[in-house]
Amino acid sequence: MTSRPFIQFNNFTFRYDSQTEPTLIDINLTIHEGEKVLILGQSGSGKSTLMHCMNGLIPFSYPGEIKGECLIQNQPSTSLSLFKIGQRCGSILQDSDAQFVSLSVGEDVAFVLENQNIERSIMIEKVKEATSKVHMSDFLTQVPFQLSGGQKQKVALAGVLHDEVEGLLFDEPLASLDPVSAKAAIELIDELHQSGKTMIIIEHRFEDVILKEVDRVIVMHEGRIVYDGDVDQLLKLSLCSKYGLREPLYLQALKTFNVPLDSQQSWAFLSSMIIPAFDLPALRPDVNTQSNECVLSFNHVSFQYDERPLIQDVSFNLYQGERIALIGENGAGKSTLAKLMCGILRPQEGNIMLLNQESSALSIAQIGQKIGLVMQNPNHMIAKQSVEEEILFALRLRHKDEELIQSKLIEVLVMSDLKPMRRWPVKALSYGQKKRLTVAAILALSPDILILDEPTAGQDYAHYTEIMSFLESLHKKTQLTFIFITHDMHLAMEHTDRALVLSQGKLIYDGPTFMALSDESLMSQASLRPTSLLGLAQQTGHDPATLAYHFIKEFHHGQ
Amino acid sequence: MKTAKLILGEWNTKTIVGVALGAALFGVLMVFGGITVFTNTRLTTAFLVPVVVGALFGPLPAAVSAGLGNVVADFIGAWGYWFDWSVGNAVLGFFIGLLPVYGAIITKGKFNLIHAIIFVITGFVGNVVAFGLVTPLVTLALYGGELNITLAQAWAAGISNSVVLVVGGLPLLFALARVYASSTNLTKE
Amino acid sequence: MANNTMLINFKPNPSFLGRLNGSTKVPLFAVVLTAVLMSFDIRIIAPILLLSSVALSTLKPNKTILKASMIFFVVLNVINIILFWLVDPNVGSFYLGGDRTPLFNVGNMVLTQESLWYLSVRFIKIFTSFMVSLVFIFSITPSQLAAGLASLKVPPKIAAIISLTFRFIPDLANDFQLMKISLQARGLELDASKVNPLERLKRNITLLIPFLLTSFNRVEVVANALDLRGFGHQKKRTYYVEEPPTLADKLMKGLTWLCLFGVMSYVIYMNTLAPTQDMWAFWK
Ligand SMILES: Nc1ncnc2c1ncn2[C@@H]1O[C@H](COP(=O)(O)OP(=O)(O)OP(=O)(O)O)[C@@H](O)[C@H]1O
Ligand SMILES: Nc1ncnc2c1ncn2[C@@H]1O[C@H](COP(=O)(O)OP(=O)(O)OP(=O)(O)O)[C@@H](O)[C@H]1O
Ligand SMILES: [Mg+2]
Ligand SMILES: [Mg+2]
Repeated sequence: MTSRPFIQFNNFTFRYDSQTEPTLIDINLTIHEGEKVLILGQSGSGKSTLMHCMNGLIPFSYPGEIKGECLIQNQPSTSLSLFKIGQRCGSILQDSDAQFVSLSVGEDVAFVLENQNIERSIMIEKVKEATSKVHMSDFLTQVPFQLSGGQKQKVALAGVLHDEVEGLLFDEPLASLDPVSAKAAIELIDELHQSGKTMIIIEHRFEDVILKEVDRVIVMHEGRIVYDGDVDQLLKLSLCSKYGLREPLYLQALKTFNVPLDSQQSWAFLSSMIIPAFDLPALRPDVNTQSNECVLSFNHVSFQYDERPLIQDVSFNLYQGERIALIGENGAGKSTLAKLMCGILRPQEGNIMLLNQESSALSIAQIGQKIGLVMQNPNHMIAKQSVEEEILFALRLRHKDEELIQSKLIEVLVMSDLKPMRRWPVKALSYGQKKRLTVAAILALSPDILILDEPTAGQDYAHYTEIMSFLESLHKKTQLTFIFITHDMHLAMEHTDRALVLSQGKLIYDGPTFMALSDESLMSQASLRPTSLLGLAQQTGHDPATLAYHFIKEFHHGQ
Repeated sequence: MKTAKLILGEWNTKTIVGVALGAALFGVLMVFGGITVFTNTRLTTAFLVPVVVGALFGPLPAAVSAGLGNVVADFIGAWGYWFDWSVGNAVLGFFIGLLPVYGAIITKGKFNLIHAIIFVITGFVGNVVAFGLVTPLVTLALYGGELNITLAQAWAAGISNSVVLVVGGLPLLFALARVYASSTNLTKE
Repeated sequence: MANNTMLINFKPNPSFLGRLNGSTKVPLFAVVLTAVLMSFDIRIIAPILLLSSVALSTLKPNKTILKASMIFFVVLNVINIILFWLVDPNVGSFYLGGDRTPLFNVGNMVLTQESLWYLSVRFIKIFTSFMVSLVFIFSITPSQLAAGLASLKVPPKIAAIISLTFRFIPDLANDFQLMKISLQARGLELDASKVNPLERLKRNITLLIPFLLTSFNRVEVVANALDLRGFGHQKKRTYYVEEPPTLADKLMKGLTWLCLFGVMSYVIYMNTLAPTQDMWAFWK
């Protein structure tokens, strides 16, 4: 490559002051000007820490011990200042909530420009342009806490679009975006790259990112860089499963069906692959006997926060032991619906029945005995200062038997892979670890109905598989009813039987999950996108539903 | 020189954010987190805020967050502006925030019995100076006259604040010190 | 939620005052409030009270909130005034040249004409400052406030602290609510109909300490987000909310200067030419 290095790490090791072991170990990495690099790695592997070294937060904000050097455009980062580094590369942080520093969407998008003392008339134009790119121009005066998780992320994205910098760092920019918005975001990022900027993206949603070509992939594992090369090689060497990452679905499917693949061709783009024909048995879906007790029912429920109508006349019944996916575009009202289920919000019209009781007569704590909710934003749930205290708090309120408490604690700590960090303060956790902590704290209470608001956002494949198999085992053992709110269509397909599709506050579909995901008009109505299994099916001439069905079945069998 | 720095605090972005957060908390708690014991005087939990700000950033930041916090409370509580009390609260905030100056470095987990005793004493002295001296003087300057009533209010305020500082502030400081003490030498088990 | 009970506006009020710029409103407010605080003269205070009542009605504030804070204010200050009188029944004479005209007796205490006048003026004065600040609160957004302060040459760091403070308030109220809810959902009963008030108060207070601690955990992240976006490095900054001044802005600015001039000359006059003059009263 002829271009100059943009960021360079030489034998770089970093240890947070509060840690005894280094978090980044012996990093050697050069990112050239104009490159587009994707960083993959398990939750807690040090991705955000690496990014903080690139944008100067390490060493300027997080104290710690550095060995080796980190050069930004050939200058040691320690000799610059946060501001100087910021002039060369902008970044969006993983926690899009904390990133929101102003009082309204418009001001937040304008914040960088305000600080640069840009004239207001220019600023207004730029803000308009940036917000319309992420489809948020209708929300310019909205206050941060009135936005949905995905909308906040879009605002964060818009905030860097007009930045006159040479490089941009994104820490999980897609985590809570719906599939259509995620695709749009990736296209935006690509557009910026085409205009000559260096792009560094950290993402768990591997398959979404490589919709547009990336120059290089870096895989981190336990603080080290274990792979640095192109996408194709990564896929062919089967490194994903080795490091607990999710392979693109179509590849997983092809491997599951034992289809031989030509290693001469690129595996990174499904559309350009030549795939040999393979056979699938006919579709024989299980007959679902819905004789179970109805645990939760919504009857003509409507709700709105302000003058905009949101949840409109929603009715459905949930039966014990069901596995439900609640899907829909950003801002559709999914989190709102979850809050209605738990009594955090109360319907303005209609009623909700919980196990044949009017839910309006019950307090939040009483509903909480039956329904556990893991909120979308972990910062809204964590109330205690350490991992263990957080889990123990509610357990102690519910149970007296110390032995039982301890065994539950250990069980969920293992499930969430937080046991090694059980005594750590919450502050020292990575974002994904925090999210797992909230899941663990709720699961410890063994609720009858569990609502998980985007449990897999910010999680890697290995960790979320762990959580899912724990849930599956609970489901088998105790007939747990669970509801996933998710933008991961494959997760929905793999782990749920029934889908509720919400679009602009209306329930537009209620039926089997895999049928929903092969219904193209429904998908586009709700800003959803089919998984690459659909593409694979079309390319190989199979019926999409049949293919998906057999893949999930065989895949589970294989595990 | 070092003491001067400890008193003034380092006004970097973190301090600015910390002070602003403190002022917001102070304001909200003053309006919603207390019960009225006497006119202009509430048994308020707001004084726990400068305890934290002082522990993390030092006395001047604590003073600013308490003083500004009171203005904010006047603003959102809409009961009129009482700048004399804001100044008094700032002074008390300063005394409460002296923690790092006498060696209670909470961020290193240092807070022992002696620090606790000094904390209670400075809190008491702070109340006397703030409401026995400063507030009446400012009242005189701004609103004119009636020291008697302000003094009566000052007594009520001083007593209720001292109660809050001892009952709430001490446990808070021990908890904070424990959190910071447990945030060092982290290892995976 | 808690944000409904607060008076802060986050979206500009559509009325005339609401549409003025921050840099117009803040100085105007500062001058008017100073005028009220400096004077004990009903001839200055009463017109301001009248004007601010008119201004308040143009803002069409939320009636229930307005009523609640009015009642609270009046009760608090009436008690205050009564206390004043109890502590010193002769306050008025001090300000009105030592005259003492008894009106009637309350118990074994005497209410004098002077005290009644003085205390009424005092109440009206405080009530006026309350009305002025209500007008201000209902007509301004925190961002306009920051822009306005900046235009008064308040150091940017201080302006930043103030605007961040307001930025945090709804978030904190909201976060406290959410944390409470999340703990309630995990078994902490706080429902009014299920726990007695004292226990509820105790539980609410035990929530407070963890809440304070977790709130401060965010300082680091917010400071990072600010720093990364170039906060505070330029001496000057522009404001997204600050629109180009309209004719109304210019007029109001002129008015502000006029008021400022008035207040200044009043202060100078009172302190140099007539330092010993008594308070104005209609019978003198
Ligand atoms: N401020 C901090 N102080 C101490 N330790 C920290 C701090 N931030 C992160 N760590 C630790 O460093 C390790 C790596 O964290 P990092 O945030 O870089 O992970 P990540 O790869 O970004 O994970 P995720 O995908 O969950 O965001 C974690 O084990 C975490 O506990
Ligand atoms: N407290 C609130 N006040 C006013 N409006 C709100 C509030 N919370 C959410 N909204 C609005 O309600 C709509 C639905 O929000 P909700 O959080 O339910 O969306 P969601 O489906 O969960 O989206 P996402 O996938 O992005 O998380 C959004 O348009 C949002 O702006
Ligand atoms: Mg991370
Ligand atoms: Mg949501």
